[in-house]
Amino acid sequence: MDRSQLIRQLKTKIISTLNLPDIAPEDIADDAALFEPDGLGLDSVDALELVVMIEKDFGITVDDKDEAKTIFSSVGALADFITEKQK
Amino acid sequence: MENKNIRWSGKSYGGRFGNACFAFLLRIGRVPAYALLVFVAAFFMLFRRKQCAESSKYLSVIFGKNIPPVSKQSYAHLFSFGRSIIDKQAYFSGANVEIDDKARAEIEKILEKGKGCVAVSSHIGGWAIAGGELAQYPCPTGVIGVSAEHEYISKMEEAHRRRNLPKMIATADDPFAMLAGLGILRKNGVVSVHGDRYIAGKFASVDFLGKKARFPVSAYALAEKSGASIAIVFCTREKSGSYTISVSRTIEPSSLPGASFQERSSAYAQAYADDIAKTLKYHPYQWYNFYPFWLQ
Repeated sequence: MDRSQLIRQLKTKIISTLNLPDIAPEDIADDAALFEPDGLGLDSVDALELVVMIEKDFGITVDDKDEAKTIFSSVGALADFITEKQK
Repeated sequence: MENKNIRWSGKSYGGRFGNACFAFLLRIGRVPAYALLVFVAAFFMLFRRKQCAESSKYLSVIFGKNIPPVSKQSYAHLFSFGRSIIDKQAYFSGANVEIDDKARAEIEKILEKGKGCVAVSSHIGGWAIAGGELAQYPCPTGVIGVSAEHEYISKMEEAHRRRNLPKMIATADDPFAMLAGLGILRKNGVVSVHGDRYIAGKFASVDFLGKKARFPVSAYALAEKSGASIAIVFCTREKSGSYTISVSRTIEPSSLPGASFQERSSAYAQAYADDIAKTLKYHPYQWYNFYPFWLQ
C-alpha cells in the first residue's frame, strides 16, 4: 500500500472510529492539525479512541504522550509513523 | 454527548500571606487553624461576594429555597470548604488525620479481575485526601486532574515529602495526558478521575438536583477502552472530624444500555450524578465546586 492509499484508509478509519458522519475523507487535509481548534479540533476522548484504533488495526502501541502528540499531529504524520513501524 | 470549551482554571482564592498564617498555625494543630478560619470564612462571605455567589446558588438548589449570599448556610458552606483545605494541608504535611477507607476492600476485589479500576471521584469532602490514600494501594496508581490541582499536590509533595503520593496526571490542554492513565490500568492499577469538573472536551448533560448540568465523560472512555471497572468513590468528612472513603456503586464497562459511547456515557454520568445527589443529602456543605455548575 502506498502512502496516499494509507492516508485515504486512515481518514476513513478516523471518520468511522470517531463517528464523524458530517465529514468526508476529502474534507481532511493530509497536513491538517487533528487536535488543534483550527483543524479537526479532536479532544482527549478522541485521542484514546485513535490510540486504541492504531493498536487494534495496525498492531502498533503508542504509550508515550509526548510521542503521541507528534504521531497524531496530522493524518500525514500518522501515515509516516505507521509506514516506518511496518518496515 | 457534546463538546464545548469553557474557561475555568480550577484555581482557588487565597493569598500567600493567608496561606502562610494557616501553615504556621497548623504547626500547632488543626484547632488553632480552624479558629482563624472562623473569621476568614466570615470575611469571604461579607467581602468576597462575587467569588462566593455560586455557593448561594448551590445552597438554594440543595435546600429547595432561596439562600442569600449572607446567611448562616452560606457561612457554614464557606467554613466547611476552608476546613477541608486545612485538613488536606494537615494530611499532606504528615499530621494524623483519621481515615476509614471502606473503598479499599471493594477496589481490591475489582483488581482481582486483572483489568484495573477507574475510581470516579468528585470535589466533595476530602477528595485530595482520598487521592493521597491511593498511594497506599499495592499497585500502580494515578490521579487525573486539572493543572491547578496537579500544581497543588506537587507543591505539597515538594514542601513536605512526608507521604507517598500517587502519580499526578494533569490533563489541561493535553489530549494525550490520558495515555498515562491507560498505561496504569493496563498494569491492573487504579486511576482516580474527577467526574464532576468539566473543563473541555466531551461531556454529557444530565439531571443533577433537578436541573441539567454538564459532566465530563473521559473517565468512562478510559474504562471502556481499557476494560477496567468503574467505581464511584466519595470521601466525606464525618462529624467526628474523621474521613470516610466509600464506593457508592461499581459499574462494568459497556454494561449500561446504549449502542454508542455517546448513549452509554450519558448513562454513566447520570448514575454518577444520582450518587452525588444522594451523598450531598447527608453532607450538603461538602460540595466544593464554586463555579456556574448548571446549564442556563
